[in-house]
Parts: sequence; structure tokens; C-alpha cells
Amino acid sequence: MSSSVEAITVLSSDGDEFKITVSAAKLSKPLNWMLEDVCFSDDCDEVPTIEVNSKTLVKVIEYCEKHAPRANSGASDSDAEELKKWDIEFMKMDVKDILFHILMAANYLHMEGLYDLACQTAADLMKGMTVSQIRKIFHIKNDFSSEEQEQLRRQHPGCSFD
Amino acid sequence: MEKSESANKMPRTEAEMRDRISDLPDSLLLHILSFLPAKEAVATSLLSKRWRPLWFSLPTLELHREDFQKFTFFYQFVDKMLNLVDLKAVKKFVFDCEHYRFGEYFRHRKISEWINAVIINKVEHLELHLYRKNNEYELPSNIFTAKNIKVLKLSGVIVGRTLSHVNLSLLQVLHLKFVRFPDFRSLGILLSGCVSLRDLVLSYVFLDGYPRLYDRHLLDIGGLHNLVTVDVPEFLLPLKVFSNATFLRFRRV
Repeated sequence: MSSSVEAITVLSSDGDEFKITVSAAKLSKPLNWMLEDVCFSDDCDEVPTIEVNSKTLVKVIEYCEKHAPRANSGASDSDAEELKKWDIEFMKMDVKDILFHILMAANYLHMEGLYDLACQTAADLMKGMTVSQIRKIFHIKNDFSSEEQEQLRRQHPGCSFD
Repeated sequence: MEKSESANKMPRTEAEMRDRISDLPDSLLLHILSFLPAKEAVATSLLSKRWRPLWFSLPTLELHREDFQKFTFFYQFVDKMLNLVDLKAVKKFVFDCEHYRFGEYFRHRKISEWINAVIINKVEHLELHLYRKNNEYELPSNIFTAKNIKVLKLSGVIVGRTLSHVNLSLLQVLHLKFVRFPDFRSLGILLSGCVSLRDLVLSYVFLDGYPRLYDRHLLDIGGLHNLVTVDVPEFLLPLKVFSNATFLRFRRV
């Protein structure tokens, strides 16, 4: 790949085009492989598709662009603090809507930092909640029969279903 | 990407009502559960059939006394948990009993049994936090030869006089707080066995009796070339062993 290229264009699974800088793309292993394998120069008109929908890809790229400078150069503690605050703001998103897509995308794109961050966010939503509250948050259907429930209740005397 | 504005409310609500989290692969759900204390992670097995078997393969077991009303519940929970889960899956084990109340204490043999169980199954991150004023716990010697450990954080424990062999060749992070050593020699033996160490914190590390400062040279060991951050008490100054570190902080105790 020529070193003059600073940003690449990728397609989302909905077919929208997105630009991502080369340094930001390096945060993802599969994207990095794409950079090496596919030609991104002007005479090549093939635009790679990323199996992530547009809404999610916008967020993923936003994350990459923000984290790229630190990932590529290593930075001071104060930068790390600032980045942590940014991460918290970044994750204040609609739970039922996009968090799952971010989880899947981070998994698929092998982005360790975002993967941890998204999993932590999901776990924080469960923390301190009862089983029925967690069910409500994530719309999980209780598919145990009443006999099974009775049996589980005996096995987990400390835990409550409600 | 987005559907047209006019059709916004209804389809969105329907989409929101879907149970998406249960569609995620096991590995992802387990990673989410690894950010929860063990008690809450186990409780998710009551959510639905999908979640039922996950806790057997938890990669992280975080056991906190504070999460339990009664000490006996905590004790039984830990014991049962370690008997039931797939210990080979456990990469991180945190046992935190820093805040137990008067009259509550573990049989030391039991703690050693638990630690042994995770060590032989190649745990990589081990934390043990005990209440220092209550019946001090002497670390079992196999903790010092647990070759798979990368992170070791200990508080409220003592290192025995018999420490002679340390092989923690993968250890990168060592944090000791309220840890008592018999002498400089044993502290030196421990550090010299941690050749990959990158991050060292010693806070409130005590030496028995009246440690003679000129014995400090026993600590001046070679081989700690990877140290990046070091945070140690002032009495360990000046030691060459820390000279390579990028970030160095001395505590006045």
C-alpha cells in the first residue's frame, strides 16, 4: 500500500460510504489486514465492505479516531484520564438500540479496547439489579417452567427470581 | 441507513423489545459476566435457559465478602462455586475478605485449598485481600512458584520464614499492601524470582523485628530489567534494582 494514503473508504453493510483514517483503522486487526491486502490507491475502485451497519459504524469510527493517537504513540497519564472520561460519555447510548451492535462490531473487528468498554457497559447495566430487573432491561423472556423454577429456587437459596 | 422519519415510532419500539443480548455468542456473554462480582454473575443463570449454563465457564471469579449478608453464606458460596465451576476456564480469581467482622474468620487451610485449586488450573490473575488485624494468613509456598501468574495483588497476608524458592517468570504486576516479611532476605528472594516484572507497588510492607538497614543490600538483586512503574517505601532507597524504571515513586511510611 502506498504511504501517501491517509484515509480509506469503506462500505457499511447498508451500503453507505465512510472514511476512516489509516491510523484509526489500525486499531482493528481485520481492517489492518485489509489495509495490507487491498489496494487503496486511486486506480483501484474496489471499496471493501464491513459487515457493520451504518449507525454502528459511525460510532466505531468515532471511537477509532479518538483512540488512534494514543494507541499509535503512547501517551501520558493525563491523556489516559481524559480518554477514560471520553469513553464514559461515548458509552452513554441507548441500551436497547445500539450497544449490542457495538458489542458485535467490536468482537468482529477485534478491537480489544472497545470490546472491553462495551462489555463493561453491559455489565454495569446489570450490576445491583435483581433477576427480574435485568430481564426487563434486556427484554429477556423467562422460559423456565414452574417446576424448573422451583428446582432452581432450591439450588440457589440465596438468589431470588424476582 | 435510517428508515424514513414518518415511520419512526412503531417499528423502533418493536425492535427495542427484542431480546438481543441472548443472541450474543457465549464468549461475549462470558466477557460481560466477567465484569460482575461472582455472586451477581451466578444469579444471571436464573434469567433464562440461555443463561443457565454460562456461569460454569466464568473466566473471572470475583468473590467479595461485602456482597453477602452473612459470613457463612459467603464461605459456603465460595466453597460451592469452586467445586462446581470449570476451574480451567478461570483466568482471574479475586478473593476479597478485607472487611470481615469480629469473630468471623476462615480456616487458613481452606483458603490455601481454594488458592491451590485455581493455581493448578493455571490462573493468570490472582488477588487475595484479607483483613490484616485478624489472625494473619501465611501464604502457601505454591503461590511463589505459580508460573502462569501474570498479575498478583495481595493484602493482609504474611510471607513465611521458609520462603526459599520463587519462580514467577511471567509475573508482570505485583502489588503488595499490608504484607509482612520476616526480613530483607525474603523480600529479596521474592523480587529476584519475578524477572518479567513491569509494575511493582509495595505499600505498608513490614519487616519483622528490627530490620537492619545495612541488610538492605540483600535486596539489591539483578535481573529486573523490565520495570516500568515502581512505587515503594522510602526506606528501600537507594537501590540500583529500581534504577531502570520509567516512573518511580517513593512513599514515606
